[in-house]
Amino acid sequence: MKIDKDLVRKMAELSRVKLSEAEVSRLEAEFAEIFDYFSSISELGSEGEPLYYPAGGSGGRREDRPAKGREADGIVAQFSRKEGRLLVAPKSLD
Amino acid sequence: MNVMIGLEIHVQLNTDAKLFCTCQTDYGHAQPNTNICPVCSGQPGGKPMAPNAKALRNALMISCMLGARPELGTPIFMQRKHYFYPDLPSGYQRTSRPLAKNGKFNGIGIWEVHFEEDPGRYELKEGLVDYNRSGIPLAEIVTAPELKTPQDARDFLGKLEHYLRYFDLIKDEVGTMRVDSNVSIEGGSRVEVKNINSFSNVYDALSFEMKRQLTQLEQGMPVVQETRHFDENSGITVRLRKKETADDYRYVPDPDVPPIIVSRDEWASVAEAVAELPDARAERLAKQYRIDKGDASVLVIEKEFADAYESIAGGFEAQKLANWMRGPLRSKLNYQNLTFRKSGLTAKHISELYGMFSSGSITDKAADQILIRLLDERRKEGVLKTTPMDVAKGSGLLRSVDPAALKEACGKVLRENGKAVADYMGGNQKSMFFLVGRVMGETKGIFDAKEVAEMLRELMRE
Amino acid sequence: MDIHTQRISALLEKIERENDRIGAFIEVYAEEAIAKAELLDAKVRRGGKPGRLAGKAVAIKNNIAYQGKRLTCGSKMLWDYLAPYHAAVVERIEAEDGIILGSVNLDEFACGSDTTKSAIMRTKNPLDTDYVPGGSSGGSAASVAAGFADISLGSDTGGSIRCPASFCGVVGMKPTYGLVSRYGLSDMAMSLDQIGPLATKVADARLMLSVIAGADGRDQTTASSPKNVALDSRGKPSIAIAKEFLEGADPRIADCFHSLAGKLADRGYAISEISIPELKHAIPIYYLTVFAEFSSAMQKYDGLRYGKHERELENFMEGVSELRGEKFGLEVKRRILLGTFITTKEYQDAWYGKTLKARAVLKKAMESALSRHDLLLGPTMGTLPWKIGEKMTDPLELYLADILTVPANLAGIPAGSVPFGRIGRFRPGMQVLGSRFSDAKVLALMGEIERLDSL
Repeated sequence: MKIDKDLVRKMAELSRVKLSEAEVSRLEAEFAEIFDYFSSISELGSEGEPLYYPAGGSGGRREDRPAKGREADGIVAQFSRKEGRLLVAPKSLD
Repeated sequence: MNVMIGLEIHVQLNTDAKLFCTCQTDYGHAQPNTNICPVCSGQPGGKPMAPNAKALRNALMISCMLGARPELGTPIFMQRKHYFYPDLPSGYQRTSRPLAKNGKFNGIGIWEVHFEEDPGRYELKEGLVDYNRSGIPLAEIVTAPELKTPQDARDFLGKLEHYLRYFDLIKDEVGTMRVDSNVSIEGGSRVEVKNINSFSNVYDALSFEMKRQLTQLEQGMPVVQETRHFDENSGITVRLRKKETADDYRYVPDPDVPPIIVSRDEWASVAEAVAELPDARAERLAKQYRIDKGDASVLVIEKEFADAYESIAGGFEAQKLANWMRGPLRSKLNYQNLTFRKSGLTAKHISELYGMFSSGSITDKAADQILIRLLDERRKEGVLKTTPMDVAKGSGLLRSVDPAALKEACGKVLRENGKAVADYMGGNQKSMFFLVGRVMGETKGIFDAKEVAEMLRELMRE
Repeated sequence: MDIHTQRISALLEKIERENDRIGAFIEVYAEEAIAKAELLDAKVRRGGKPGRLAGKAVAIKNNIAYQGKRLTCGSKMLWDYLAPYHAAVVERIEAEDGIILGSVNLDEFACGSDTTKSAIMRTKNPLDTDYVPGGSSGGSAASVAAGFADISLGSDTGGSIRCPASFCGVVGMKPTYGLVSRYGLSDMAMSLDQIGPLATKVADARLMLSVIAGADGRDQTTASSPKNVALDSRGKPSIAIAKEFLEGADPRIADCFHSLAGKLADRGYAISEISIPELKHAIPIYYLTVFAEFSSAMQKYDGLRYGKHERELENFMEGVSELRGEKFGLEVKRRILLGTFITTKEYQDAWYGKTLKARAVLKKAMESALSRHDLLLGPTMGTLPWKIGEKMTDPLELYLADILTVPANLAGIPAGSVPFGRIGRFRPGMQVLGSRFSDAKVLALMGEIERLDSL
C-alpha cells in the first residue's frame, strides 16, 4: 500500500475535509510513518471473532410508547440558518 | 428478451415511537422539527436507545409473511452507513444486517429483509429540512432480480402492499412505500433506478428504462452500469451526477447498539400472527361458507373486514351477506376513501344494519342512507356512537308493531331451535344473532332487532 | 451567608483571580452556581436532607452537555453551540446537590494527550505552569489541582483522565466501560469512551463515581450496569505487575513505582510479576479503533445544525469540505482521514477487520491475567510532563505516550491513577487496573496507596 499525495487527497475528498497543499504534504509524511508503525497488526492472524460490541450481551427491546420531549425548541435554536422551524440547507448539492 | 428486474422496497413500519428514541412518529401533520430529540437530530452526545419492540416485531412479521427466515439465536448487528446529506443528521444511517433471508413471494425470490432508520425530509427545491421523519423505523425488502416486466413489478408490489396493510404493519402516509429498482436486459449491465416514490410510478419508471436500454442496444451502444433517478413529472430516468452516487458507505458495526437475537419463542409468536395469509383465507372463506371466490377475495382486502364477515356470517345467508358487504358496503367505503379499519364500523353495526335490510324491515336505499350517516358521523366527530337502529328510527325508516305478536313469534322460534337456545345458554353469544335472524325472517322484518333480542332473552329466562 | 453560598462564592472569586494563569475554565456558571448554593443552604436550614454531593464544587469537561451552556468540545466547529439538553451525569450530580461551577478545557474533541490541541484556550499544569497538564482532560485535572473545584469530570478513551491526573498530581479514575452513562458525552470513540472523576482525594473520586454510575436507558452500553452502584470493598487483593508496563519508563518513575511495590509487599499484599505479551500491539489496535470510530463520530459536522458559522454554505458538498477543513484542527483532521481510509471497502478487512479481531485477543489476555490476580499495578505514564510546546510536531510520538493507559480501555476494565512519591515538582501517578465491574476493589487499593504516600 503506497501512501502518496494522491491517496491523501482521495481520503480528504471521501471525508469531505478540504486540505491545503501544505497539509497534504505534511500528512503524506505522517501517514507513511504511522502506517509503517501500525503495520505490525498485519503480523496477527485472521482467526478469531472480531469484537463488534465490546459492552457485551445482546439487546433488549423498548416498548412502543412515545414521550413528549422538551428539547425540540433548544435544538431548533441551534440550527445555523432557519426559516420558521425549518432548517435552511443549500439548494445546490454539488 | 432476457430481462432481469429486482426491487429494493423501503416501507415505514407502523409504530407510535421512533426506532431508537421515544419521539412521536407523526411527521405528516406535525409542525416541522417538533418531534425531535438529541438522538434523532444527531446532537453531539446523543446515543440510540434500545430498538422499538413493535418495529422489530413488524419487521419479523414482514419477513415471515414473505417466507423468509431469520437465523434464530444468532446475533444480528446494527451497522452505520456513512454519507453526507442535509437530511441525515448524524452523517450516517443505522441499518441492520439481514434480519431474515431466502423467502419467496408471488413467485419471486426474496433475498433478504432488514430494518433501518428513515432520514429526515429535505426539499431540494426549497432547501428546507425537517427532521420529524428522521429515525422512523423502516423495513427494507430486497428481491431477487426475477421480475420480467413492468407489469410483473406492478403486480408484485400491489400484492405486497395488500399484505402489508392487511396485517397493519406499515404507516399510512405519503412516501410510506419507496422503491429502488435495478434493471438489466439481454445479460447487459445493471442499471439502478432510484427515487420511485410510489408503487404506481414503478410501472412508468421501469417501462421507460427498459425502452431506453433497448434503444441503446439497437443503436449498437452498450448500456453503462450506472445509477439513474426517476423524474415522475417527465416520466423519464436521468443519470445521477457521479458525486451523488456515493461509492463507499464505509459500513462499520455500530458500537452503541447491542446485537439483536431472535429467539425461537419470538419467531413462533410471529409465525402465529401471520399464520393465515390473505390468499389462503380467501380460499378458506370460499370453501367454508360456500361463497363466490371473487367475493371472498374482496372480503380479505382488509383483515378486519374478513373478521367482521366471519363473526356474523352464521346469522345470515352467507352468500347474500358476502354480496352486500362486498357491494354496497365496500363501495360506500371506497367512495369516501375510507378503510374499514378506520371507518368506525364494527361487526355489530353490520349485523344490525344488514339484519334490518335482509329481513325487509328497511329498503336497500334506506340501508345506504343509514350507512352514509354513520360514516359521516365518524368523519365529523371522530367517533361513532349512533347505531343503525337509532338512525333508522330517527329517520322514520322502520315500522314498529304489536308486542303480543312479537312474543308469539319469539316463542315459536325458541321452541323450534332447541340447539341454538342451548348454545346461547352455554355462553355462545353468536347464537343470539342466529335466533334474532330467525325471528326477523319469520316476521318479515317488521320488528326492531334490539326488541327481538330483548324479548328472546326474557322468554329464555322463564 | 450560609456555608455553601459562602464557600461557592469564595471559589468563584478564586477562579476569577487565577483562571487566566491556569487556563482551566472555558465558561464559569457563576449565577447558576450561587443560586444552587443558596437553594442548598435554604434546604439545610429548613431541615431538608442534603444530597450525597451536597456542597461539592464540580467542574465538567466541555464535551459533557450542560443544557443552555456552550458545548465547544474544544473546537472552533462548535464555537457557538449551546447544548439543548443535560447529560445523564449532570442530572445525577444536580440531583445529589452537587454544584457545577462551569466547563473546563480539553484537547479538541478529546484528541490529544496534553490539552495543547484545544482551539479555545491553553491550559497549564498548576504544579509548574511551563508544563502541560496532560490530556485530553487537562482542564479537569488542572481545575482540581489548582483548588478551583473539589471534583471534576473528565472523559477517558485511552488515558484522557489518568494521564492528566498523573501529570497534575491528582487522583483520576476511568470506570468499567458501561458503568457510567455516556448520554450527553460527545463521542471520541464509542467503544472506548467513559466518563470518570478527578479529585485530590480518592474518597471524593469514589463519592462522585457512586453518584454518576448506574444503568441508564438512554445509553444501551450501560445495560449490564446495576441501577445504583455501591463501591465498598474489603480484604487484601492479590496484585500482579506486568513487566511490559515498566518497559521504557523513565527510571525516576520506575524507582517510585518499585518503592510503592515494596511498601505494599511489606504490608502483606501478595505481589507477582507476570507478562502479557499481547500488550505489544496495544497502541496500533487502540489507534486504529479510534481512527475508525472517531471519523464516524465526526460525520455529523456539516455546518447545518450546531451553532452559526460566519459563511453560508452555497453548495453543500463543497461547502461542507471547506467548513470542515477550516474549523477542525490538524489532529482531528488527521484522525478523520485515517479513519476513513481504514474503513473503505478496499482496506477495511486488512486494517479495521484485523483490528477488531486483535482487540478481542488482547481483551481476553487481560481478562485472563485478571482471573488469576485481582488487580494489576503499574505506573500511569512512562514519562513526566513535558514543557508546553514540546512534542508538537510528531503525532506518533504523542500516540506512543499512551502506551500504559490504552490497554484498560481496550479491555473495558476499570483503571485509576493515584499520585505516589515525588520527582521535582511533580508527583508520578500509579495505575491500578481491575476486572470488569471491580471498580470498588480498584478504588480500595488506590485509597491504600494514597495512605502509603502520606506516610
